[in-house]
Amino acid sequence: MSVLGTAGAAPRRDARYEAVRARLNLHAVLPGLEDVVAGDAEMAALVAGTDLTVHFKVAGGPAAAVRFAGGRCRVWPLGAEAGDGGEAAVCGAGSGAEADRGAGNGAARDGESSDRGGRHRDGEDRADGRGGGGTVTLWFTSSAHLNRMFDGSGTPIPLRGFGKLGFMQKEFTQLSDRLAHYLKPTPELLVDPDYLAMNTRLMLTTAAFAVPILLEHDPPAAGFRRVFDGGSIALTVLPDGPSVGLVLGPQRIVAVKGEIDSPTALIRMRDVHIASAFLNGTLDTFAAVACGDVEISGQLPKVDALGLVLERVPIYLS
Amino acid sequence: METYSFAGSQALFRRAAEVIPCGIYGHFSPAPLVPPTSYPFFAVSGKGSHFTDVDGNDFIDYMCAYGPMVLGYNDPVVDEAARKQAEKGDTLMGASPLMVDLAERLVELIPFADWAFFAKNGGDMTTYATMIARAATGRSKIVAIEGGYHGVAAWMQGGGHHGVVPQDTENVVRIPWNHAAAFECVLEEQPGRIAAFISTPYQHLTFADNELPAEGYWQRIRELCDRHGVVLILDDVRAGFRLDLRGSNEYFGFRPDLACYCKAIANGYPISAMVGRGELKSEAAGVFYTGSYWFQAVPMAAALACIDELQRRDAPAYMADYGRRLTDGMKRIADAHGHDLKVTGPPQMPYLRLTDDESTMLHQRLCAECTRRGAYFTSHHNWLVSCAHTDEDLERTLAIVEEAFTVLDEEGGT
Ligand SMILES: Cc1ncc(COP(=O)(O)O)c(C=O)c1O
Repeated sequence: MSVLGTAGAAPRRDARYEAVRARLNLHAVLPGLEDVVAGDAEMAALVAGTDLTVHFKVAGGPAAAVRFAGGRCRVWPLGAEAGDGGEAAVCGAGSGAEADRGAGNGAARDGESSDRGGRHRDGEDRADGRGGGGTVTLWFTSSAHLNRMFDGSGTPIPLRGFGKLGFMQKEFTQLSDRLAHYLKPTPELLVDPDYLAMNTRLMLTTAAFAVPILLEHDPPAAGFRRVFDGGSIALTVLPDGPSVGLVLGPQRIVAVKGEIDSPTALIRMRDVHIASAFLNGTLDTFAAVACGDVEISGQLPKVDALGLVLERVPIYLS
Repeated sequence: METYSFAGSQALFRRAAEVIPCGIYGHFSPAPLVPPTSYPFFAVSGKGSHFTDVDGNDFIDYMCAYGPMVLGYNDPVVDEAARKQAEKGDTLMGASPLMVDLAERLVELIPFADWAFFAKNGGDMTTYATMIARAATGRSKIVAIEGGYHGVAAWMQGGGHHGVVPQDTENVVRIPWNHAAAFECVLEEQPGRIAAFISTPYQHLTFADNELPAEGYWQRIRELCDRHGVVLILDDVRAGFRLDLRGSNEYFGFRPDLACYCKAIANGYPISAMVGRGELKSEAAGVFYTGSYWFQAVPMAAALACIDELQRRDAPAYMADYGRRLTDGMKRIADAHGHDLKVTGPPQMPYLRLTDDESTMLHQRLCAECTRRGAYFTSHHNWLVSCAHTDEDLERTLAIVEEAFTVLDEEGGT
């Protein structure tokens, strides 16, 4: 199983491909901003006094909100708002509480930043995802347009919040550049323990949050949907995390940050080095499993299928 | 009780992983063993129901090499027959006369069989069977059961798996097990397009309770095949000769058109077989099918001796009795420790699961603790017993199971 390291056949960059990629960018990559603000002191300082919500909206496609307040950052999907109701239903990058309700199993424990759906946790946020402070809305004519921005070449169309565009051009750009930096490891960068830790955390989160999206929107991955028919999967880096979970409800699969209770399938990586190699696709996974560097237990068919689904990630994001 | 160390297996696996994809691939891959560090990966010798790993640990084997061992490792009768033939020659320039003897033996043994054909692996035969069915019917589609395993050819594997393209599986229609109505529905929706129905005699999936055919199921499938001109293929690769020496179809009361055998045919010597009804003989002849080692005489000698021995020792009855005593004993122990051990499938090849364990982690721990003490159990696959398992093995196994449950109790989480 390689998670994010190796890509399969070069895909056709058609509209369907771009749409899946846009969802992954918004709902699996963008949430990494939370971790960058939480874990990188320089970035935390950058947004310390910011009180602002940024909406990313693709015409007829997915949408997400990024909220900066109280020195923290939260990211969550805004499925219904962009006229794409299916989005939120499945890719619910939800809070632990949501996950619990959805699946009745494997509830996320409060602890790590599992409060992805900030609106449920934070009284100041309104249900529509607009918090206090201002709102900037960035509009994209298509998924491909959004993806170009994530590739560093596209410019969004601001719809509201013109007064805040300075923040977008300066601080937000710095922040997203730092996220990109953490997601593009080199052997030299990975020598730095802080970089290694952040890269591992971000890769793990991206992988987990990509799963519900791929199961819904990527046809080869969708073929495995029936395997994820209940229970929950935990991916954990030993000894102290990070951890992510997938709670497999009958209607929706929810990815959560942090530990989950009583997972029915478990993937545990011995340490951050093993996790990093595993997530970056440089680990001989078969050998690692055989010698116990990667422990898998519980409902193994789900672990197998998860591996096959995760192999689809680099096809879109590498 | 002593618990084993697997340092030798681990060290050898690291070497293997350098030069062999997966280190050990396929059904012997450590991947489904939980945790793999409680299991041996490399075996060096075997005798009767036992094998010894590279660390010198001795195991009572409840997987029987996943089926090929049926009389016991190094069975003296089979090995003597094989040795005698090996002295004369194995792969020679021409078919062995033993091939004719073996074909006659199978035709005599299996009531519906009019002819026999030999290859090496089970998958050789299941693919050949579908080719014969297609040749005979001029149709392309194969109906198979969801999750049913027939080998590793691309058509048999699920879509989305490595190396399988959608075109490989587009002619395979999967239906649920024990659902003759679903088969009927496919036949009606795709009239004149279904060449074959292929299935194992009962549903022996991994990671799932095994399911016997419902009353009348096979008879209904036979009827539907007859009505729609579909070839009925029995994949008896795993169960064949363990449930009934006349083929598992006799055990369940029906007659297929083609049946594939492999695992219990020659006690570990490499040979597989297909038998068929006379009407399909010329179609079978028309399909070009062969392999470099398919005429090896040694496995044919072994198969002839093995079949004689299976008959002489009333093998299915012996294995059923042992399997029943094993699983009854294990259920009693589980019960005493407050667990419900569910046993499914026929007693010769039981599938076990703790019902109070949704994640199966407890069952995995149980199997690992037993293996570390010398009773080789996997947690994901049906087990297999052999004619070599003895009363002494049973007693020792149950003592191991008792201790393993006690260890789980002590560790908590049970
Ligand atoms: C029911 C069944 N069919 C076919 C096969 C494939 O046999 P082989 O691995 O010898 O090709 C197997 C192997 O386990 C089997 O159990």
